[in-house]
Amino acid sequence: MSPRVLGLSYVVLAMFFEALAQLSFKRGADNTAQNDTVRLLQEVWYQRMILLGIAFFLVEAVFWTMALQLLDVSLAVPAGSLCFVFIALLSRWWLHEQIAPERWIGIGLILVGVVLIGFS
Amino acid sequence: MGVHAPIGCALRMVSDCVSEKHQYRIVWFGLALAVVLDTVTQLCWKAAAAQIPPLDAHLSTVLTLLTMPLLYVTIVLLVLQFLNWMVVLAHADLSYAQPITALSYVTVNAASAVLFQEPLSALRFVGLTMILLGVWFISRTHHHTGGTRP
Repeated sequence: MSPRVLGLSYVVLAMFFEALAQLSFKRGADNTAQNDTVRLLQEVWYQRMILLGIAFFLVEAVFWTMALQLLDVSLAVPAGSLCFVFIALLSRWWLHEQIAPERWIGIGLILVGVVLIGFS
Repeated sequence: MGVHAPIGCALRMVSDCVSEKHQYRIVWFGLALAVVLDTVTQLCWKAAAAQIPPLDAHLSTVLTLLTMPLLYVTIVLLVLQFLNWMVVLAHADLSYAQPITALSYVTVNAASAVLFQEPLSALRFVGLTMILLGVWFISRTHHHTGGTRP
């Protein structure tokens, strides 16, 4: 496998773990006292899903570092915009969020924007 | 209980309406704060990295890092960012809040152009404009549709 393909595989893995981390954070945050911000911030530290999210985040950091060792930032950053797709799809399937057409358009525009910035 | 049910229901509708508006304010304040914190964190990180002398021995690099106040500022900012993000996620869809944080690409690029005189190419400008447009589209959708709250 060429370093480039290997590097991009690490980016895909890193972004998958980023999505898992964000989904776990969301699940954990949903279990906290929504109407009382002070209590919410105290409860955050006792949520199993949030601790799991932090663990996923650390795994992501390892893969992202491995990716950056093989790839230029100008390739890694646009490839990293994959996380917008992973998060949208998993939010729909796992969290049952309704993604209206306008939200898909917005996510698509942001993705293209990030890719353009990466290659500029 | 049967007699009071309609009153309770009406009261709940009023309070839902108030909390809905309140929720929306919390979400947008949180998102703005998330973008500001992310921007400041990235600029601090960059400024800290620029202060490190060229990489020689690994140990001395780490020791230099540990003596820099900017490192501790960055760590505090990261913790604040995490806590703020939990507040946002408790009130909004992940598929709504997460892509909106891409706004920090716009603020970081603008700040870098001003503070570090980094050039802004035409292609980059088009990319940043598309992010702004994308965030505008997302802001037109309802911020909370998910059903994971128990």
